[in-house]
Amino acid sequence: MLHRIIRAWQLNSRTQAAGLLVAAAACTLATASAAAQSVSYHHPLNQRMPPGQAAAWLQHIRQENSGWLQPVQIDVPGGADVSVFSGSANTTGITSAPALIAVSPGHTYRLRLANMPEFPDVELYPSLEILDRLHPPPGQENRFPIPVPLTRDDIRLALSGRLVTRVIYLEQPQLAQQLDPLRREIPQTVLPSENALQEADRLGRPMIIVRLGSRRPAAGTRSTLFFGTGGAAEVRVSDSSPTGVPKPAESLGRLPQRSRELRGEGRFRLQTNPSRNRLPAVHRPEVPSFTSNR
Amino acid sequence: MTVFSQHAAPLTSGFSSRERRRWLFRPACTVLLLCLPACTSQTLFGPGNGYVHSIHTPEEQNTVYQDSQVQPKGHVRIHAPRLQKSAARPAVMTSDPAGSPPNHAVIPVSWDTATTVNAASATQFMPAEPRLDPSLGRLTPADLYPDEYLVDGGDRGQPVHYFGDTRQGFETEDTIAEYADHLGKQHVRSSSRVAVYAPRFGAVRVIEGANADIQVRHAAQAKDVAAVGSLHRQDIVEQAVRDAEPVAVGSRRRADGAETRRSHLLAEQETRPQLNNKVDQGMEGWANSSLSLLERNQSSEISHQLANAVIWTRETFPVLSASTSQAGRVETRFTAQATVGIDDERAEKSEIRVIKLADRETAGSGDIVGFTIRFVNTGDYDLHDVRIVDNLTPRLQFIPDSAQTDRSGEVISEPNGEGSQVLTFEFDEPLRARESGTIEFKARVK
Repeated sequence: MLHRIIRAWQLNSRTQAAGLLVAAAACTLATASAAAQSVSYHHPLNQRMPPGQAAAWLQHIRQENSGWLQPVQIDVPGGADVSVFSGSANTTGITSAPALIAVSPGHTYRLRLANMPEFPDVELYPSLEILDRLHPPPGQENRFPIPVPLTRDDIRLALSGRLVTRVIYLEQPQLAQQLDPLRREIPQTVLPSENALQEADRLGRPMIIVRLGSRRPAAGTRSTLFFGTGGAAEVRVSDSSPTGVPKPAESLGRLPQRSRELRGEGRFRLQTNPSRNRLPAVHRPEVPSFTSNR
Repeated sequence: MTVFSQHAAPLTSGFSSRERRRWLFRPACTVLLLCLPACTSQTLFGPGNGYVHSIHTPEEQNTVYQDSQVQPKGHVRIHAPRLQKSAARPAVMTSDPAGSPPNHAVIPVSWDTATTVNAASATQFMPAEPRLDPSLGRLTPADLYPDEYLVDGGDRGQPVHYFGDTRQGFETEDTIAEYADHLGKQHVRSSSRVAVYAPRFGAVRVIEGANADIQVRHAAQAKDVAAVGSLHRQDIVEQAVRDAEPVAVGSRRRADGAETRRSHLLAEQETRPQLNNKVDQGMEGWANSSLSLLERNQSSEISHQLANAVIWTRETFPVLSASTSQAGRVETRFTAQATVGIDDERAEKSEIRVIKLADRETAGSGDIVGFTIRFVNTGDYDLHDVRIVDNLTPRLQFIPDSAQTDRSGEVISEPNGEGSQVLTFEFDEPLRARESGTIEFKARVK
């Protein structure tokens, strides 16, 4: 193509040369467009960014979570005293795990875990980076907190000097796994070189980044970023058992029984109820408008 | 956009073909270059620059440009529709903060010349819009944040359709009614959607060595296998054999006198590796190699080719061709027959309307949700082979023996490959006109 363009230019046939040039440009654009479509998205955020940066970016983009306090539930095996740590010796707002704390999306918080019966004389200071929020029905915010489970394995790894990072995501219902992904025995783990935030984004909507290490604040710690970004926090008391947290039987992560009938598969005779042969005979509690048909 | 080049034709009338092409090409290129910015701006160049551009209001978009002024030769007119005013004004810096933009400024897409722009408003921060604006329509929370809800019913994704006898586009969450009308034609209708607030979470874990990196160090050491590799490389046994070989083993090879001759037509190549000696003797060895002259002679023969032209003679004789068309006569008679029938006053066509409901607004893992599917024949004809098919969302587990209905039939539960089931409710009797039915079943939230 190029030599034909040059040849046409040398022969003073500008029209032909320009036509060939336009054709070449069109081919180049088409090729570039096809190549661009095959390239996957670049994910600018990852778990290795400084704590708070990903949340700040997302908060800046969404502009809708400024006044909302999102409840999160801190779950420590065996129980623990949980508090939002601000560097002061007199920590206020201590609650016992499972602790329900409402935090502001877009901010980072430093927690203090102490008095863990299974890990005596151990204090841990995990950080929570709140990326997003939920939108539950009004009045039921505390029933649907974002669970932040810390397992024994996580604590052991942290005490051995490693940094455990968990990106908690809201599962995409259409991509739901067979078992509860948060309570499975073998957690979903990616290599340190991989982008956990991207993986969480692939599976659902990233909500919280939890970083758990063994670092303890020294007496002269002045870095304000270590203590979070200054978001509001509120210790709440759950009025009922949170619905988002699975039942103990589900938390074991066992596979359901393989019996075909127990799995609800097969052919069954419908139970006919002759007394309900007309629509008005069906008595059901009133269904809110957003759960009915559109 | 309409382009006028009425002055181009007289200019090119007296030129040669090449020059005519050049004259035609230059205005065409000019038009081509001007088209793109003309789409995004109202004024390309100010008056006096030689290029005249007309500004039209939206009402004038379909009118033909008419201008009584005499335009200079070679100029083109571009009729560009005026762009609509954009709500979001981009941050544009102009040299005249208080007034209208200068004539030489290139105006962006959303610019409106009817209003003035100052630098303060131009650089004002415009926050990003939320993901979905509820004021845009009757959007429910399940529409705004569908990942927090368990949705069942409707026809998600690709619409349900049939390829032969195969049902396609029937994804999870879909609930449809299949039936045949009074003419035997098959139909499918989807149900309404029901949403239950039941978020579920997962976590992706990363374990890193913060500073000491004990795990990585152990792994590297184990992977290195320095001791084994060292032993293998030392290889004492093999070394002993090699030490023994030079004492008693010697070899001598001599390749000379080998000659290869190849000839192809007049090309000749001779390769004579001579004096190629190699002596391996224990601790010392040497090799001498030399090649003799490599000769290659090539000569080409003159190739002759004779081509004899053969004179072809062709004579064409006109042949008379005659054809006869014979038109036949066709007579058709239509005889009106007496038709006796009964007008069917049931004018309304029958369809099935399916409504799906749930007995809970929210649910958690392990909770049981009761679903109700109501279906009604809205027409005046009976519907046959009625089946309600529900492809449960992956987080719902059908509870056996929980299905109830006011019509006789059966339910078939099959795995859908996504961890839940496809429920097929089949009924023994047709759905009469204006009749309805109700199905109830329960499912456990996983």
